[in-house]
Amino acid sequence: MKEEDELEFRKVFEANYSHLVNTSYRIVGSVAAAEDIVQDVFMKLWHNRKTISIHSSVKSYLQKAAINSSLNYIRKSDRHLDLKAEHEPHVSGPEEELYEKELREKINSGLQKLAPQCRLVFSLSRYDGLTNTQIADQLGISKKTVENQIYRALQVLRDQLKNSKTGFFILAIALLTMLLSALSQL
Amino acid sequence: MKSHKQLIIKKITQEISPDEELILEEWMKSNPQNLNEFNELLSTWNTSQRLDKTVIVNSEDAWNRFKNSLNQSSSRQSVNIKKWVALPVAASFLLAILLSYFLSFDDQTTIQSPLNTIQSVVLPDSSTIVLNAGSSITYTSKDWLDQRLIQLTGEAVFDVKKSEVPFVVTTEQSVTRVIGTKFNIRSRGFGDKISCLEGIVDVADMNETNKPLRLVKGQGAIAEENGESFHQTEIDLTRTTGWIDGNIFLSNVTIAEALDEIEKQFSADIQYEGAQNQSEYNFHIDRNSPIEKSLTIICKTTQLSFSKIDGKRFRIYD
Repeated sequence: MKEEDELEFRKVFEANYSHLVNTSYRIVGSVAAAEDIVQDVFMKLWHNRKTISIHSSVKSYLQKAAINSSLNYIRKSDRHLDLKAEHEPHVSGPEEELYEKELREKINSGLQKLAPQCRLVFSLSRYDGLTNTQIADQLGISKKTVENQIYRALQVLRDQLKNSKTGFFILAIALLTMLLSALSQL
Repeated sequence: MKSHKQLIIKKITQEISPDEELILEEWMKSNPQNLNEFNELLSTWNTSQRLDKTVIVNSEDAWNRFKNSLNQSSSRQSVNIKKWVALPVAASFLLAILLSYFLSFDDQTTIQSPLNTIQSVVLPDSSTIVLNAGSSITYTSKDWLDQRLIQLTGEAVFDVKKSEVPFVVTTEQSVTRVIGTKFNIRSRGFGDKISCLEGIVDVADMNETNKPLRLVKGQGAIAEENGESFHQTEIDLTRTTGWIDGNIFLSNVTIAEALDEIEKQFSADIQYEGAQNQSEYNFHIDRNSPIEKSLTIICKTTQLSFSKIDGKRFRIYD
């Protein structure tokens, strides 16, 4: 490696690596596989750095490449997206963090309930910032389907979030108050 | 005719065209249930961001691994992976929705954003409000289209739909009146700062002891507590609303105000001991980093020290 090249490349690598691993992880559901995929994406970029012509930004080139490779990976291995597999318990912190953890788990288990494609569409939109048209192109589905699937995902997540102890508690109080105010009107 | 589902998603993902937006607005206006559905889905969208980073990787280790395989070395370094632990998280947006739902029996709608959570609200006329952590608004939803009056505690940015009906925001210190424009109000109990981001904003102090100010883009008004002072100032547009993305820039504030903001952003408890320094400083609070980073910045600027008591409780001292 030439030193200047390496310095320049390392900057790009470090600026994008973590984000790309997360993108890939959401598709393939395994940290190890996600890292392999992203390493590979950078390897290709390194070898082609002299010849490659990148029309937009390096960042969006990398993102596209990572998403493509990840999709190929699950198609090839016929794996189902399973984020649950590597969900490791984390050290419990103060009480607020427990609540935060509960909320995060709610979102995660909501995502688990989605059909794989629905989850993929939602993740690309929410966490990778792709536009609906980009998602449609990437997955070869219509824009209308993309929009419907995001809608579906939000519905499921909303219900999942409502379905918490806190939610029940508030709902109970709300109903009780409504009942009492209705009674007092009599 | 597009279904409302697609319009909602387009609006949430910010890909809606002006024509479609009008249709969506009509749909939301036609039934309070519709508006409620939209708000719920928008809140869910906002809340779901908590999961944006699941895996934390050490990019230096990753780089070493990359370099090793470039050099065709077979010795692969193990990669240190720490799982993302405890994102700063929202509390019950549900509370706000349910609360607003049943409070509407009383015509008054109150929406309160919890600590360390930023919350978006869409009003019946499609004006939008983004509430900073630990802030609240109250308005009358029933005759909203005839009188657009809002009470604010805390900080919020308002994006107001143009209408002949004036849009008026009242705090303890000030009254802000607009027709249709974008502005930010900070009212955390340390005097008010109203910043005009677009269009024209009229501001008066609470007791109208001073002449009202008319602000244009880039101008702000400061209303000190108890009407002590009311004057115009220049503002930095990006910094003013930086809080939406977690970068809170405070200019000319006391240590007490900065610590109060940190408590709200991180849901923390900070005890400021010793002689209270009343000087004013500029601070940057970074909500996306651990609380210690923001405390370090404040202590460095003011030559104070801090220590952790436990959990999210801290002590600041000389």
